[in-house]
Amino acid sequence: MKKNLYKWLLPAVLLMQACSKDDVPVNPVTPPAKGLYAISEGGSTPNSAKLGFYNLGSSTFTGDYFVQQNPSETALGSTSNDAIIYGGKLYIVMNISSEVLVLNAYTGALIKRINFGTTPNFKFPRYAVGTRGKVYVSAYDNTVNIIDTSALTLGAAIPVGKDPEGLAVQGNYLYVANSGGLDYPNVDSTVSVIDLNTNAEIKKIKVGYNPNKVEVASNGDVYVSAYGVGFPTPPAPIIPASVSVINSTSNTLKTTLGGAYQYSHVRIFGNIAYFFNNYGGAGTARVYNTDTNADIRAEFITDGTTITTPYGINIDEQNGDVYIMDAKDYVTAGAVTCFDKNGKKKFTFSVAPGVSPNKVLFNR
Amino acid sequence: MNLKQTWRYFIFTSGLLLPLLLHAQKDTLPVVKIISQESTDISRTAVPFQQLTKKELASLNSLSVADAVKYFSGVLIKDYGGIGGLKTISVRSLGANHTGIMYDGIMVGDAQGGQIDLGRFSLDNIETIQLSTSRPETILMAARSYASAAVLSLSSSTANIQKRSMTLKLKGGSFGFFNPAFSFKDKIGERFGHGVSAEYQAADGDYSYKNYVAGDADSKRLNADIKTYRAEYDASYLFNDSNQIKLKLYYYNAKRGLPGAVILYNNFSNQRLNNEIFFSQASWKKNISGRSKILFNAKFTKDYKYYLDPSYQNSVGKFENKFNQQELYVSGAYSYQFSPALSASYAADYFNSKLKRTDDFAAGFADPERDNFLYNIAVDYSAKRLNLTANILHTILNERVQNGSTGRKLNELSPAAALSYHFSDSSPLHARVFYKRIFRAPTFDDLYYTNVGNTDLKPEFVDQYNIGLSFNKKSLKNIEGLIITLDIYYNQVKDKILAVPRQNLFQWTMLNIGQVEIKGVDATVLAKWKQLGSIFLTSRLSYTYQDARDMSDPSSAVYKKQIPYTPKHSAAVGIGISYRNLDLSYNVLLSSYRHSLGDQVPENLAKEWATQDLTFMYSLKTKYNNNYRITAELNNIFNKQYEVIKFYPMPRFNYRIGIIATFNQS
Repeated sequence: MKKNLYKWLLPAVLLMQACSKDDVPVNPVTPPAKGLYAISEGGSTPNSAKLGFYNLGSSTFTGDYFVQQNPSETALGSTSNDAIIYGGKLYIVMNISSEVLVLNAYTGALIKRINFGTTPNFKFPRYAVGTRGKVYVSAYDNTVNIIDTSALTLGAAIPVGKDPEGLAVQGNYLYVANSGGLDYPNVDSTVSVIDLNTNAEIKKIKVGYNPNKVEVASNGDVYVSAYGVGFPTPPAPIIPASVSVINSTSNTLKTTLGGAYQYSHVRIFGNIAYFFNNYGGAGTARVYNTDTNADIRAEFITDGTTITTPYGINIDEQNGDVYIMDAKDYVTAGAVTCFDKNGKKKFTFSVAPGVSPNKVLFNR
Repeated sequence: MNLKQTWRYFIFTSGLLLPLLLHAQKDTLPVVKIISQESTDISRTAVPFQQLTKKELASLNSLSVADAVKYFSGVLIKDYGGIGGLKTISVRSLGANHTGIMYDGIMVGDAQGGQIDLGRFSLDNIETIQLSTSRPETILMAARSYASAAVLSLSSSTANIQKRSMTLKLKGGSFGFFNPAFSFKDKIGERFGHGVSAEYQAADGDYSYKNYVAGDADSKRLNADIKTYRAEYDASYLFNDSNQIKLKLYYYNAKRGLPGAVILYNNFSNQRLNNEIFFSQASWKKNISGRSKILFNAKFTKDYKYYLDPSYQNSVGKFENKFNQQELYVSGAYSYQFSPALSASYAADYFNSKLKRTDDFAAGFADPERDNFLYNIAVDYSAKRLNLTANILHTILNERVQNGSTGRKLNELSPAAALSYHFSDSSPLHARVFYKRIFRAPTFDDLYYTNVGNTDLKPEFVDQYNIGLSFNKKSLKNIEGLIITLDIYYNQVKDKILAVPRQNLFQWTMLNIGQVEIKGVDATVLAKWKQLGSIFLTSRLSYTYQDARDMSDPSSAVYKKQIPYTPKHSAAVGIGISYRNLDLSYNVLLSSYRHSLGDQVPENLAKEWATQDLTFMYSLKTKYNNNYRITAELNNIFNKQYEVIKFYPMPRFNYRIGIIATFNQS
């Protein structure tokens, strides 16, 4: 009954760095991570969002790193839906508190809380992506908002479709999933294409119903995963989750993956896509090659490790390690498990008191 | 509810009364007949029993039933703060759905949510509040009275008419509280009595609280306003001492803002909730012979709920819920006394509950309708020092829906037995033991709520085991009367219906996954001290210990942990002093710390709290038998900031003052 907060888009920021020059993947010299920022959106108790920090050297975890580094602050706020590191700053998108926090990405020191709207017109921001010296933030008032990264002020709002969620940049374009989730079950099924030169929507492309995540593959294809309609209690007819592929040259729908690909979530690193459902189901994640358009592995995990509720996947571009966030029962403390690229577990840690972790970011 | 329809219904039912009214007016000599509701001796009942009488209620700093029942042991009130904030009761950690509310002898139904907001029952027209696993004083009861793990029984004062009287009341207080009330009771002849009570309550509710953001100035609760109207009409006709009919009409209308939890950095809410309830009920009780008695009850209820979120960001720009609920209830009971010691009763109830959704989601909604058949057999054996009661309840539920699949059919047998033993005729000690097995059916919300409900739900079962001791002595050294009760119990909740997030935090479904084990202790000490000059002193203490553990899933982090919002220790203390025309009472509530979730981490900690309240009352009786009272309630006198539910701050110091004038026929 509450807001249909469809979660989690990977910021694609690492990807953006990797793919910034003519879409050719390059391997910039990336220092090894010193630690991990773990973002937990919080549970049913309000104001329980957490920014934790895992020290990779000492293998210790600080549950409320934000307050530790900013002792004068009470708490992060309510529902940290997304976070990105861009230009040495950590941007945390607080959905219910309706603001974006800007932190020093190296120290975790709070630089500014940017309000998204004022009483009673709150915007309820959702996801962020950084490009061209700006941070673009989707918000439930049907806009994409531009943060000036030097002044840290909120600039123009670009009107898009209903209840925009995940977004990603490819070339001159910003792609935004219009979920229409707040009109559930009468959801939207389009992706807005924004020309980054004019900061205006140039077209809408039809994709699956209730689109959620947008990711870019190294060949320039834009992948859009969509929840569909029909769970947990199905209104008729049931529309399953789906994955659509957009050709970013022509900005047209290239294909929709077959019926076996009923996934609400996609995460792409280079030419490897990870498909998963954040409400559990069969397996943790399917691994897919976006160049050959074929599965690499039906199940990413190869050593029998179980993840109850995969809630987010991140990849350390420096060593290829894969981090899977486990929201468990959404009520008790979640966990983060690190795997090598072959799906073997390296280590795991609880994000307590964090509930429903959705992302890790790398502090290098 | 359609107001016009209600009005028509009201006219129609009052029309039935007219002949009675006319008949009654022939008798002109008013004769006072005392049939006051006897207060039950709580030390002698086979099941634990607690009560608050009108006098006690006046001395507790309470506005609604929710405030008053906090002084009972074994009771936890989930209080979301303020006059308009939801207040639900959990008896012995079983959850709100397991407490049935009885109003003037007939159960109050809510098939939709099953958790009745006790804040809705203003104390203005309440004479006594009783809490028990069933009503122990009689076995001539509707079958439905046996169908809850605990029954909170409210008796209105308009249902108990002794003589002609009129009461005018005006109360006002902090946060824009304004509360006029009026009641008029009349006894016409020996046989007919009727009364009307009407009340209006309004408050801005904008109390200040200590800001959660450290260092910031105090904030105010916003959108916490409430306006309620309540009207009740009661009539009773006594054919003779053993043959009486009663009728009641009740109307309630509340419009309130929902301030919601305090959200850091975005403390705004403009959500609204309107609720309109109408019911009419009638009962007929007759002794057919010295040995057999009958009781018939009938009730019709309409309930309309409207919820609005005017800033929801969907395409219509708002989110609305409109639900119409209707219940028709009839019951018949018969009791027979085989011997002075042995009696038995049989009761058969039928009620039909309907829920209709009339908002934008109406098209696909189930619009469920449930037929409930309840049959109960009870026996009571009362020997000299031994009392044994037992009953078995047979419940049959059938459902129909307009869309989708129906919930399960239910056919259940639920037994209960209680024994009390008096050690010797002169002993102040009584021992008691009881067992009760009961269930609660999934509510319509559990089964059918759009996108959340699950029609595969089974009922939620509760087993209660209790042993207790009581001590009752009329005169001790400095004490005129002392009652001590101590009960130790073990409860098991199986197949507990829980909302479980399915896809993310905001997509929930209902599942029968919970299991809870509760070990608890309830203790009560009531003392009436010897008069000291002109000073009368009474004291009451209740203490509750709860060890309520989540036994659902051994692999979960919360396995065997205390369930959310359940303090290990809680207590209430009340001291009353009377000196001539002045009454003073001092009331304390205490709760140990709790956790907002099963995870016992500091993050989820809800701190311990205590409140201290004072009530002053000055009464003046005139020679015409009229009675004027001035009251002052000072609540939370030490201005403590506390919360019962996390991020729902409770009011700090606040006051209510009132003038009450009662005009009695001399």
